[in-house]
Amino acid sequence: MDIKKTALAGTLESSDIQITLSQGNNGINIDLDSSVEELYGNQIRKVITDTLTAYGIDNANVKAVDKGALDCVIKARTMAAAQRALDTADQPDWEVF
Amino acid sequence: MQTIFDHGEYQDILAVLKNKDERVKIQNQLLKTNPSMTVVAAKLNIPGPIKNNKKIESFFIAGLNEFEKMLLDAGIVFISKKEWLDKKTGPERFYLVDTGAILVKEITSHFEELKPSYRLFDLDVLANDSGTIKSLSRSDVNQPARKCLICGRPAKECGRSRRHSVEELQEKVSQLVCVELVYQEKENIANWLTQLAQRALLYEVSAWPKPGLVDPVEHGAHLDMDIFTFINSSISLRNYLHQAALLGIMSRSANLSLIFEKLREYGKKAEKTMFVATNNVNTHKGAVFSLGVFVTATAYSLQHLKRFDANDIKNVIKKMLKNLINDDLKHLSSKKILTAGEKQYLKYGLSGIRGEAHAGYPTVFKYGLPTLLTSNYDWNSRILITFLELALHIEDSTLIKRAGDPAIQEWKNKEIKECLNLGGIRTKAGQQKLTEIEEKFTQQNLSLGGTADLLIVTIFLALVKEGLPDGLQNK
Repeated sequence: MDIKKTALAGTLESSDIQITLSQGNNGINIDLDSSVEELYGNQIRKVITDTLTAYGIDNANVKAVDKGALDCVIKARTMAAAQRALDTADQPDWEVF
Repeated sequence: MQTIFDHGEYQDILAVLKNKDERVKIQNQLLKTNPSMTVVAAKLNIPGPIKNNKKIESFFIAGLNEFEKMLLDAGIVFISKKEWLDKKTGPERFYLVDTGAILVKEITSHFEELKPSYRLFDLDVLANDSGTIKSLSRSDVNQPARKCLICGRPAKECGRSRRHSVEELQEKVSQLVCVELVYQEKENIANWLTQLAQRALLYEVSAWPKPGLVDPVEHGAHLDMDIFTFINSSISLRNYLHQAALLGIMSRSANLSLIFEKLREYGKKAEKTMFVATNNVNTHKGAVFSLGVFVTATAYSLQHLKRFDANDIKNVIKKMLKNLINDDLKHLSSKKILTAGEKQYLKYGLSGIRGEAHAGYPTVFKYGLPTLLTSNYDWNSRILITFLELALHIEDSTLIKRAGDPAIQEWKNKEIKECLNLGGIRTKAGQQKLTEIEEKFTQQNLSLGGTADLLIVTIFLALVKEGLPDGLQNK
């Protein structure tokens, strides 16, 4: 599935992550900014990639600013961004969640 | 183990995230409309699914009172622009602060370290940096990153790895909040007792007619003072009464005579304050002593028993004052300036108010309080009925001093009994008689100053008993 428009979800509050999705054509590229990058960078990338894949998104540029979010928060914020980018309902897809 | 998580609605991750979105919206709005101001977004870090309830809310409010005081102490003006005190995702408040963000961040960082429980506060400091919203971090004011509540590692690490279980975190949070809530409750009770003590002073002087005492209509027996002198005096004693209440409620010591020694220290300063307020007229010197003792003893008793018990208060007073006669009256011969009570002890062997106090104020507990509590008329009548009952049973050292002869007591008792036999203040004839007694006292320049002190403490006890707040019971 293709991203129709650039979309953003999440805040820069602590324990949150801000995800910006925009069109891409070379797989899923994640630009991650996180204070726990060293320890959790790979895990955060994996959660984002898996969530996008579940929506059938194979190409996207992702900007992620992490403020210590847990996996479930990363997933919820990525889902919200994906749905906005795909122009579907502004509610998380519970089956993916 | 006490928990603060016994009530409250479970919040899921989506509710918490939705709330973050709402918070950011408010913050951005505030900074957009007030670009030169600093925004403080205050909230709590409460782990687990329950984020708010009454206990959490009061903890939040009380902590922010302290924070607001810190801002004001630093000369900073602020307004609280919006608050979500009972929001299920946790209480929050947004401030607009009229100073630079760095200074505000220094204050919030300092606040968060002030008490162990304030570690639970999360005060975000935000500024509008030419159109970009900037959130300051602790490193901007050279503070280390926050540490984990449980193990002291960087909080972010433990949070991300979920190193500690929700139960473990909740237990720690409960412990911190409970300590603070207990302290808050004590402060509230102390403030309440202070108010009642001041009311007692003002109720006493407002009741009319009182032979030998100042009231709003007449003060013939005390030409150097009037109702206004008493208002000044009553107001000036606020700080002392508050000290007395805090002493009783905060103290964990069982050494009540030491507590009394501390109270006397406060009392000596209070007397000076009173004399300044009254232009050197002795309005409440006896009340400073007796009301102070009652406020401290009542606070102490309420704190330990969690209910009102006249007998317990009496026992606390006896323990507080167990050395009073020995310390005060045994070494009088070497003292140069003596009070009326001290002179009478030497002259007639009467122990006066000290004897009454040392015995745990039996006149108050046996005659004054039961009379006041069983009367159900208006306050003026209730106070006068109690006044007569106390006057009849007390050895009033002020009266004896003015008359120069203890025999005056018999005359006083005869007059009061006559008034009571006529039906007291509830009948026309009794009222007539009371006015006559008042005139006689004025003509002979007699005073019932000692009775007034006991009346004040009796009113205080009744106000406490009749108005116990939540968490305390009547007995």
